[in-house]
Amino acid sequence: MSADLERRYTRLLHLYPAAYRRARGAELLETLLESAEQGRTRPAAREVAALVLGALRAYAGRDRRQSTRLSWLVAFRAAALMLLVYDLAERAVAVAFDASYGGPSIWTPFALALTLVALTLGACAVGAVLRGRYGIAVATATAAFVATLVVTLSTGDVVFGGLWGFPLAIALLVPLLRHRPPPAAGLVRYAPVLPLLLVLVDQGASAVLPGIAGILQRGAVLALCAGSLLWLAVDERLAMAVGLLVLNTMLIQTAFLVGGGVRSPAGAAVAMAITGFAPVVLLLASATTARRRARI
Amino acid sequence: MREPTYFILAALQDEPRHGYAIIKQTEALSRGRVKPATGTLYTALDRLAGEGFVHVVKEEIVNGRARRYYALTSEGRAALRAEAAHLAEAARVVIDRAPRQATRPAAGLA
Repeated sequence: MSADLERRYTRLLHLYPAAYRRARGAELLETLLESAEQGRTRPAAREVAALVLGALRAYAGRDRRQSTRLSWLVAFRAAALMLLVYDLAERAVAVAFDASYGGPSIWTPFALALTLVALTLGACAVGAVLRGRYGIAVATATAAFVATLVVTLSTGDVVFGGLWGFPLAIALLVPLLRHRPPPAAGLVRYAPVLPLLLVLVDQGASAVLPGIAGILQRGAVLALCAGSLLWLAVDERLAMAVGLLVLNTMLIQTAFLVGGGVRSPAGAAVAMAITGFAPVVLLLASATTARRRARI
Repeated sequence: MREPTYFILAALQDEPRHGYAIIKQTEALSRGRVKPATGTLYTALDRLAGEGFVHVVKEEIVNGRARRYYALTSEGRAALRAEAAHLAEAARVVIDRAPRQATRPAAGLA
């Protein structure tokens, strides 16, 4: 056993959460050193990969078995929060831009007041989900959505009027009224921060690089999807939640196609296939992984 | 039950073992097919302890570091036996039929 190898493994073990390291660090180190071949001074690649993965799983809270149903319930809560946060952030930015623009507002005073009410109700819904009060969350999110529907009807502006992520968020929260997931734990509880990053990229790209803003926005969504697929090795619940988040884009597109009338069925089919590809891949891959992980 | 879990539990059926001994026994029982890396083994042991299938029965200090010995619980032993019976039954479906099928002429050629 070499001192170099021991030092390198000790450094690798620092990847684990401190509490886990205190409980298991010395034992893991003993096993790692016993398993090493004579004369080895550097950790074996497979041991490094297993330690990195083990550490990430410990942080993600996926070092315990979880039933498929429970994984979906946790993903429903994360996806509902992501949808609520994304819509609220986007709408809040639109209101702030409108206020700072200096010219006449794009909204009537009535529509603006109702939008502010909707934003407040939406923020209450987010708070309620975080506290596990799903009944209040469903009620406030529904009220916020109805308020924005009134704004949409009064302005006739479908794109800027509604909180179109809210219906799916409400649908995802309804099962949680009867089947409560355990309190949020692990890295998946930070998933609602991801939509804020998307809105940030969206706004930053529009302000700094307006010529390629569309490409950057789509790139950010693709990066989120790709990252979630890679994260499947650690925790499938993020891919489930992101799959549900991007599924909403497909639902909105379907609503627009149905509402606007399909002029070219082939064009509509291609548009649906492109929009539906990411959510289908994410949801299928994460469902398969969850089923496999549910086995002991 | 996943194959690595099956062999890790099987490695503990005769006597309590510590981490390295579990890895060696798992490798021997599976004829080299399953050789868990240390990080993988401890993730599995955490999961199995969470399920109530294994527990720590002894701790000692070797080279100044902790060494824990793991043993099967009665639930772990029952789960292992149930899985073994399930695998044996699945194997019988093929093994018991194979010689008869081999001597029978293919349909349509007789």
